[in-house]
Amino acid sequence: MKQNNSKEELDQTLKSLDEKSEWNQVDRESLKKRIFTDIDGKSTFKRNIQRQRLKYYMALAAVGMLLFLLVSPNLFSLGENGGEGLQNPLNEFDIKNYEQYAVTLQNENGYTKEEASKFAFEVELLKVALINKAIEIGIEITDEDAKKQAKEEREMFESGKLSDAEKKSIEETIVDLGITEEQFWNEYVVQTGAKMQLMIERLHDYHNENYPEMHWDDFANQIVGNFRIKEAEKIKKFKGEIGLD
Amino acid sequence: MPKDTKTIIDEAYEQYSDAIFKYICMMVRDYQQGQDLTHETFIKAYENYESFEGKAELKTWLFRIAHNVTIDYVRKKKPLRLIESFLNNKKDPSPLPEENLKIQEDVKVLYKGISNLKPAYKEVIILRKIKGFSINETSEILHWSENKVKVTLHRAMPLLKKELEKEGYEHETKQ
Repeated sequence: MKQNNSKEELDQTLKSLDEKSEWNQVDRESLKKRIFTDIDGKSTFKRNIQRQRLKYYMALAAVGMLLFLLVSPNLFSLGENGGEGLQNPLNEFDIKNYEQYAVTLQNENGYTKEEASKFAFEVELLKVALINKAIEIGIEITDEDAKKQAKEEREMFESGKLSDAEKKSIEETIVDLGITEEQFWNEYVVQTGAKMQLMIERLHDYHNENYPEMHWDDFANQIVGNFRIKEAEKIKKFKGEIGLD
Repeated sequence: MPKDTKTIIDEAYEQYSDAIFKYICMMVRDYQQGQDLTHETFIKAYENYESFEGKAELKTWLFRIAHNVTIDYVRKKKPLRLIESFLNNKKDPSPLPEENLKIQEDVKVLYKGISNLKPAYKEVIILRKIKGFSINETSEILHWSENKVKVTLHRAMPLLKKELEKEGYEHETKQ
């Protein structure tokens, strides 16, 4: 259908957008019922929400960290002939990672500078604490395992299962890194995102086997808590370097 | 006799829930989440109704709450959605919520184009152009200055046109 989106027509079409979409009335009524049931039992509801938020935060921090590692152009530096390997060990604080993620949170997720700094620090802390714990209990990821993981991720990318935004994000990362697509999948993803993902997965397996009664969020929280005590000096130094009180 | 808060929220739901739900749905591109955030909006409205001083219209106040809960969700959810999809071999979890929200054929492209914009642009277009809020009301909802509303809208519209062109929406410039 041919459409005209001159300014006036576009404005008119935008105005009519609400009228041209319809919310399922059964769902609407059912939501109303849910709202008023919750209003009637408000105190219980509030307690549940608080619990859910705490749980959600930990899960979010974990996946946010993984995303960051996967797409951050600063974690890994490639030499002229391909890959030279990791510049910064995954189990150490990395200012460039932190800064890059904080900027992303501000530019793409709408965080204020202060919120972005805090959240990026929490993510960096969680990353370092979990990876150190994984190393401490003897988890090692071979290049072969990481390559296999990276291959699966690439297949998903190429099969069109990712959204446009996700594809765009990966393509931009390749450009930012200044490497070829082959180098991105065969070297960058292998050494960073894939290894990190597998280490966290193995740590998760370890948790399931050894502490089945404990929720993963609590387990991760405990690791971060212990790390804060054990590495207080290191954390203080990092916070000083990034200017976070 | 003054109405009690529950009655006021009940009437507000009847009057504004549709507009609020569609606004949230367009922001988050997820039908179920759209309902959950609408739920949160009305619960918050009920809990905080005492703080509503009547300086703004009730609708503006409700949209302000909806904006707060939505932007909070969008900020937190984005990395989660991306990584879940990328690492867990899932299909795009954020298609247009068409199956449940019936969108007429001739505006689907427009709906998608808006959805592809970054949150601030998307939101200012929805509030100003779709919901018809004034610059002043929009600035109250978004906690922005009026100037920021104008500037952001001015930047957002050409980007929307670009998105529409990408989606095959034909562009004819009137002379």
